[in-house]
Amino acid sequence: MADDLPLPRLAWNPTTESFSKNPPRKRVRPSSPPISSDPPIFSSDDDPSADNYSTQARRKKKFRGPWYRQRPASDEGSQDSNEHDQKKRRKFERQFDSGVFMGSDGTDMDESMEEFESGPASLPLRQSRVTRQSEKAAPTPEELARGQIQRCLEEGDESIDLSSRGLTTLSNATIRPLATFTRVPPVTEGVFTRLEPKLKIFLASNQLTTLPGELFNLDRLTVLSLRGNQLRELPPSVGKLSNLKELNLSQNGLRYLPYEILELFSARSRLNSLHLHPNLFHEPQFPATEGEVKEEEVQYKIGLGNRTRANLRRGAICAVSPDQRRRSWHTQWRITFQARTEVRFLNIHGDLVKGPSLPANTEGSESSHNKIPVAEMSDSLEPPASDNGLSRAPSLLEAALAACAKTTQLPFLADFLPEDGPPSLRGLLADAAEKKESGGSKCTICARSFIIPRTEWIEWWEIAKVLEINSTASAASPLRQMENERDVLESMVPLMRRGCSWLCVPEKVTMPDEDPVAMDE
Amino acid sequence: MASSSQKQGSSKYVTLISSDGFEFVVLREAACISKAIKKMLAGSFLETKRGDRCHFEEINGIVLEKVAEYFCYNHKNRNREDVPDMEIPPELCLELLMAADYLDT
Repeated sequence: MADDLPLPRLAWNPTTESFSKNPPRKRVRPSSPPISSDPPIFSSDDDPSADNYSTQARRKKKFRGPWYRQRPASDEGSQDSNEHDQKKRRKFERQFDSGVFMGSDGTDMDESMEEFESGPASLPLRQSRVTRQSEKAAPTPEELARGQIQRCLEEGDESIDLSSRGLTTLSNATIRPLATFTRVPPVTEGVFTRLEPKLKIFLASNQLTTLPGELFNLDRLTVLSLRGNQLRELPPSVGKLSNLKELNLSQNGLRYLPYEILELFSARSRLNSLHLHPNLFHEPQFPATEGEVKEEEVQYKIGLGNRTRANLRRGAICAVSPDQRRRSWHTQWRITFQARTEVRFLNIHGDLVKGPSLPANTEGSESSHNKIPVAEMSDSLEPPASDNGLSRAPSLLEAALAACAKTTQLPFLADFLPEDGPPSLRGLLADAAEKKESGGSKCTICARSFIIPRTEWIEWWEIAKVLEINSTASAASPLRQMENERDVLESMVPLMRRGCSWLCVPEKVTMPDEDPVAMDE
Repeated sequence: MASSSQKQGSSKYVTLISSDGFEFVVLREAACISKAIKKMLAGSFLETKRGDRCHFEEINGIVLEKVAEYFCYNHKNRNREDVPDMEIPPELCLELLMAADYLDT
């Protein structure tokens, strides 16, 4: 213990280049031996270790002033010499074995075990830590959305507001839990309410380009807002949302809507409000063959939205879609077929063989570029000449692709294709995966599900709300009667119809002479 | 169906031969749905020097059997309104997809 006394300082004598005559009484060890005694086991034990009397206590004075200004004194540079001194001073710690044995659980066995474990485990341990950190660093918007959906599920909150979350993708797995949504029953005794929720999903102002198919399986969905996204196409499965009351599709890049959306206007549907504009919808281009000039056309267009339906029946344009009389529409909506394009026939790979080409999907194109000429009444529905007879049977490519889509391994199948294989197959598999994700598509003629469409055409339907009878007074006012051209055009909604074979084409219709009533329905 | 029985009338039937030597005899009319087979039979390829026989070096017997089955399925359903689906086992789907692309069917 006596050795613990501080040693006298070594004084460097620069003239002799040696330590001064006052030699140290004790040899300085080259390095301090490791501390051998174990820490005490019980708190009541007197800690004999000299570590408790660490030199930190001596540096207490280095900090002055209030705590928020505390900085090590060395920063100020004023006490450099002092620090120099302190460095030279011997560290105040026990340098020898106390000789007192204190029990520890450390045994030779444990040490070897540690060695054994630490070796192979170190690598995966580090890896896992890294991934965990990266996850922590940036939870993706989708993960946040998933969290919110989980919260809504737990709290029974029916309106799921995911607007302005910067979502770029939304997967089926995120939406799927909502299918199990149940209302929290009220606690009041004797009161019974339905536990079926009225879900409201707001996805406005995100960057979604595709929608998950599960979204359209939520048949309890009443409000769906997709405003301000980057959707190019709406999946056909949207027609399954039979309880939808409000649908907002404005401010997207939609060129057309699926034909199946008409199911939302059927007699037993509940759709009340629909926002479609602005979008990049294709507009019909009516033929101006006769010498009658634009005025007439404008008049005709104005007449379109009004009661003067006689004008509508100008031979070339008007053809009633075959389904129309079979269906009954909701009384709140006025749904009428207006025109259609010529049929596009596609080959087994989905490339155009015959028919009009759709305007390119370029951003910011002028509205005139959106126009597609409507089909003549005398439009030939003849498919392109082919040596094989026409058949409704799917192609082998389609059948094989459908089998691929049925497997659960669909996303990985493209990796199994050989390197030198045709690149078109990868595209087809990607299409199939996307289609499966968004809920599949069915032929609008024969209701067979398909992956590669063989025919497609756009029909323009007038979708407008019927004015209430009570409000006829206001409707009769001159302001209401003058519908401007824009309104008329906007009420014409392009609907994409697709067929699964070259025989799935619109029926040839003869001009109906009767049923103006049916059309006004 | 696809049976490797004896040929009957070289003009009416064609024989498809797989890479591992299986032979399938199919109606010429049915097989000609495939544009590739049609061209082969027209004699523009080396494979068909011997008349009505098509050798497929890249298609094995299991897949070619399914292809032959498809030809019959397609031929049988060519005039039907409601066409049933063809059963394709999942383990064959990718190879069949490549075969379909090759045969242009």
